[in-house]
Amino acid sequence: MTAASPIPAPPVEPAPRDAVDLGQLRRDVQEFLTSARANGAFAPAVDCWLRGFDLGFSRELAARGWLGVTWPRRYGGRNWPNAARFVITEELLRFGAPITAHWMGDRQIGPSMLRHGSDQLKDEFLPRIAASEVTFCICMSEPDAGSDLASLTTRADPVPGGWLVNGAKVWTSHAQHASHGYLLARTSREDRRHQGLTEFIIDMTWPGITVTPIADMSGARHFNEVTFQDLFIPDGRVLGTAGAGWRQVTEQLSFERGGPERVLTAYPLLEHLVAAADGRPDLHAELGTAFARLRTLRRMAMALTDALDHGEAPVQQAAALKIVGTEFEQHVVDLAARVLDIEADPSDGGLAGLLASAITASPGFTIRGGATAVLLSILAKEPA
Amino acid sequence: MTGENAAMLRSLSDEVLGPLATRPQTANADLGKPWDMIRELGWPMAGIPEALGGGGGDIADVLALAEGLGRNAVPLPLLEAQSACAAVAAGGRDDLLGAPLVVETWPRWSALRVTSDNGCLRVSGTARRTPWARHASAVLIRVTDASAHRWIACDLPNEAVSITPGTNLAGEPRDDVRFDDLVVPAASSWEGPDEPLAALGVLLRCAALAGAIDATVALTSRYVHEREQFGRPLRALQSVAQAVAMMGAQLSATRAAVEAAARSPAAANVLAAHVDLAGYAGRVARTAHDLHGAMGVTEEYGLHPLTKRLWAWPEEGIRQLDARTELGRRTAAGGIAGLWDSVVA
Repeated sequence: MTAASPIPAPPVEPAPRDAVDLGQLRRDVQEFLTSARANGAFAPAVDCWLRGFDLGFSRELAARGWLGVTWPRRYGGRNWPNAARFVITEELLRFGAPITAHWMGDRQIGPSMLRHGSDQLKDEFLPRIAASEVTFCICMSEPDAGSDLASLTTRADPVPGGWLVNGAKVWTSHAQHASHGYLLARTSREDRRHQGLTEFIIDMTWPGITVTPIADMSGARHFNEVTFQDLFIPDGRVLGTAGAGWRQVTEQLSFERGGPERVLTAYPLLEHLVAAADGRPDLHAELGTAFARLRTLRRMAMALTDALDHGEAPVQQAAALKIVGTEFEQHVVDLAARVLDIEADPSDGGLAGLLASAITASPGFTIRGGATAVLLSILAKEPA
Repeated sequence: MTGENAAMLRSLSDEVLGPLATRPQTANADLGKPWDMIRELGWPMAGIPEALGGGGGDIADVLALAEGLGRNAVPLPLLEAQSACAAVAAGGRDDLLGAPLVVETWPRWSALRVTSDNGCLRVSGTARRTPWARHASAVLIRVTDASAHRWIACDLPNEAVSITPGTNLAGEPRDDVRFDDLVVPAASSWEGPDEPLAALGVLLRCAALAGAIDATVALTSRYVHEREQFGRPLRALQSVAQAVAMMGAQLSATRAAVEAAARSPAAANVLAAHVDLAGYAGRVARTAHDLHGAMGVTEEYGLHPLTKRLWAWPEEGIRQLDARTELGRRTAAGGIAGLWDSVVA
């Protein structure tokens, strides 16, 4: 989703954070998830952060104070360190819990608003994201602007009191459920195409927005086309600085890349591999290799989080994690398909169905957040 | 030495070890002055508390030095001396701490019979591929059973010990040490239930591998910058630039692998790092040679001392296949319930 240009380092404020007992937090989250799973509140899924839209579940997490935890208290957060969000997030991911509803808001829109948003935007949205009262979809990609995001053509023309939007976005996951959207549009023509882009926050109920579902190869309907016809956006909904959208969005994407969701997307399947390997010595070598890789990648993700807490912005390491982490996730799926004594069957409600969903979800692992080939091009331009 | 010194030690190690990398890589050369200098710097005893006669500092310091050895591809027994010194200190053998070089045998590659006899221990059998044994003033015989790790100190040279020289791919001494009814006082033996100590040698090897990977990536990156073909630097070819970028991503993972083990150096965690690093070592070595073309395989150019280590070290002390299988067996035995705890441990 990103054009090949060097990654700007986002400003990170090493604000003093409140102390939190991470071990206790982890136990609390584990206890909640163990019981929710036992009660049938969810069945562990692969790719749960993109395919597990369950507003009720996200609100349960919000009620426990587990969303937006790094944000200031006045915005509904808890002023916890990033390490606390890491603990919550990795537990949710490895349990395969349905976390899509709050994911975009908690992971990237909230932090982006904190960095660039007006006081009005922050007051209006951050507490509601932390409460999971609002949900966000990301209107970035276009039919002719995928990896080359800067070539997008959706226009937002200045009009009295705001902007008038025309154009079309595509691959917008969960636009049909989201109450709000993040929109990147061209607001002026400049010599350099990376200039003249602006970020907006829109209500998905506003007139002029049409959402049309696009089924993916598994039949799941998370993707959508979102078209805008004379959509009016009031001035107050500009996120950050008009015209500075490119810098802001690439920062947002750099944060998006480096989380535990680049490592743990297929974890529920790995659990089945572990169970299958009991009494199957022929699987031990491959299982051991995968386990060793997972320990490294999880450490890599945690080190990125620690760096954020130390006021660093390790964008290159985040891209590196995205590359090697998603390679691992796909490997787990391939390994499961090869060695589990079961055939993928999308009509099955058990392991065969889980495997089928994993296989069809797996191409997305290396595409979203910057396709591997594009990320490598970006890294190649960075000073060594 | 303190943990904050790790960065300083890293640059110091390059300063000291860099000039030694050009030593002829012949296995029989005397360790000579370079090793004396390393000993004077106290590096073999880094990480051992000063109260135990060591140089102080923490694990980060020791790993910084080990990484430096790998990064500079220096043919000196620093890793082996460091882990042997740690074992010696744990056994309270201050006398051996001052010895010029103490090394350990590989327990998995030893076929030894150890018996107790009247206040003495008798050892017979062969410890295969023991690093640097021909240069050692003492060898620690490692005996590992299910419950304990035991070390038996044996001074060299010794009438009951014969050494058959061999070398690894990188030209480092790997000698078969044969014990022919060696008799040592029982007091020459000590037990250490301390798992991290038993795994220290492998952890140091992991750090050295990371250093060698680091240097391989740096050398390759420089080469594709300078070497011109088709009228422009090699790195102007997108596939070349991407291959170097991928090596960079693998290098990031390499560092994380060592860090994961260093933070929690139980034997299984160190073994996991060893296995994962081996994967990166193999891939980085292949890419580096691909991008270097014929220059990379010449004796005069500095790539082979690195890549030979990347090929040799992962298979020493324990075969990768065995290490992977053992990790998988442990993981399967731990079940789903134990999996996550082992990942975050």
